[in-house]
Amino acid sequence: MIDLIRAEWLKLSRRPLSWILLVIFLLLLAAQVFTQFALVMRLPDRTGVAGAQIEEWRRGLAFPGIFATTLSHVNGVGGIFAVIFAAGAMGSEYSWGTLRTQLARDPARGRYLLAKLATIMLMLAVATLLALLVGVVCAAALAPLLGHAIAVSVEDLLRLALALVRALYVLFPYVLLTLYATLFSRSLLAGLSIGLFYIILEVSFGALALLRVLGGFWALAYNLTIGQNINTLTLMNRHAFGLRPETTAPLDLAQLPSPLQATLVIAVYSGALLFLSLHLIRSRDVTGPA
Amino acid sequence: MDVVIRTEELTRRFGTRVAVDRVNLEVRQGEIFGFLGPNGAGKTTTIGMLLGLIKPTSGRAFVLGHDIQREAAVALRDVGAMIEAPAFYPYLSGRDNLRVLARASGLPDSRADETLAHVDLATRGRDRFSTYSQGMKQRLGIAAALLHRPRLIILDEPTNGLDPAGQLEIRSLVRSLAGSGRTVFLCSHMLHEVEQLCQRVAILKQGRIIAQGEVATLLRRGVLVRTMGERERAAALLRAAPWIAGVSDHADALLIDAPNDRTADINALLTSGGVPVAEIRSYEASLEEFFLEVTAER
Repeated sequence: MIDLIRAEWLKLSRRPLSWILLVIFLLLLAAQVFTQFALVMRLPDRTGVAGAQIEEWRRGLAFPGIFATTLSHVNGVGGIFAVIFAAGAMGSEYSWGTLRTQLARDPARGRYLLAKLATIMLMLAVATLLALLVGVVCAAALAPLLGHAIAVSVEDLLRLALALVRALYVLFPYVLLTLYATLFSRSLLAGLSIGLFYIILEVSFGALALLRVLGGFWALAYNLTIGQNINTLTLMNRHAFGLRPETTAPLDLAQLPSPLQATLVIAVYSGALLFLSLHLIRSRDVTGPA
Repeated sequence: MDVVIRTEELTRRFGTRVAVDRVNLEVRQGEIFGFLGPNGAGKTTTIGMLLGLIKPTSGRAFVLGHDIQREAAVALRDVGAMIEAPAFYPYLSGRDNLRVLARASGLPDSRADETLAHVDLATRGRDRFSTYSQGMKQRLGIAAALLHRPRLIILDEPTNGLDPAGQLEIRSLVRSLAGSGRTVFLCSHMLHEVEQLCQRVAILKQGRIIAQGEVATLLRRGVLVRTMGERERAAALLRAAPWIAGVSDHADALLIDAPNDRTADINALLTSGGVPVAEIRSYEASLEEFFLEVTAER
């Protein structure tokens, strides 16, 4: 398994697409931080909701709030990048015909898929660490201008480790959904489209959210969607570093699933998608380039 | 002699179309075995089943003594293959492409350099695969098949796109592989190449094996006689001779199934019978002629 992961790492780390995605992802993070900074500096004396929002942005630029800002970027825009990255990692094997080259040598298809998944997640972890580094550097550079101290406690770092795991766990079902869609369609473009379509669909679940006021089945159904459970985990990450998004956004904490439910529901979705992906790759013929 | 590939009634259907139909193959240790057939005959599907990439609808395939359906990992441990066009990552160098495969097989990275040198790609090893010529791509495909020094090598059109010098190189490489005790299963459209390299061949047509055996046995031999008219009478005279096993038409001549050293006797027989002989010589059909004959629509 380690050998397969080393092979996948070599493939993906040398791929220009990986670096292009990483650079854009980090530039977008820097852009977000500097936009927040510009707004905080230009609109300092607002009151009411606008004032609360400015204060929230200010906390998001300070230590340890910058960790929450960065992880929020990972779980927001990062989800789109994770889908593109996963579709590229699996879909190109079909379009180039390299899946056949690989599986003709090592027929353990399940192991191959697990190694690919592990490598994708490892690379997403590295990208997240790099994003944290960029976030920290930006926050440190802006701290004198905002009058913030550059101080991080050991507790903050322990919370950061847990928050990092949570952020990657949130990306897991998106990556698996994309892998499954790519395997199913044997196509990079189809896998990518389905992965991105799901993210768009999830955003439009806002309409479905209105149904939960009916209670009963509707509330239960809504609370079992991936997006709603992910909301719990991303909110926990924000709370871990002193941010309070519910003060400025229409977030009803009482309506969100509990952390335990969120963890279990995401595990069930991920497990089901992994099972289906393994079944697909094991049961189908492997043919030449698409 | 050990059998390295054996198939029993191997069949694959795609819907109602039968791509491979009850194929029985036997490939022996150390030989170069030619696998021939027109386009769409089912060669690549058969290779896919031998490598565990395509599941048979029925029948069984044994590779190096292991059932490919049940023990694919053990069976393929000692098999190297290049199927159709070599498929690699275009953005990686030839060397890194081999390193990916070496790592996946638990081999040291240094094996990639050794194998590149073996196929004369060492100087271009650090160039991207996408910049390679067709010939270099083929050689990298062969290098990938040889990377883990397998006992059985399956090569599908290994000289595709190579210039004559490149084809010669690959032929001598294939010969040296067989010389070192390895078995080569060679699928090629280059019939003269197969004829030069292979001891035994199987010919596939519409999914079925229509001929299989030693090349020397399959190819027709005999004495070719061209007469100046009176062909029917010549045939009758020859058929009457007890040492002639058979007489058949061959274009505008007669092909006589008789030992080559009886050419003078055939000439005497015909001239004494009043049939003037225009040409008489020993004859051996080429594999190409044999292939065209057996694959022709009947």
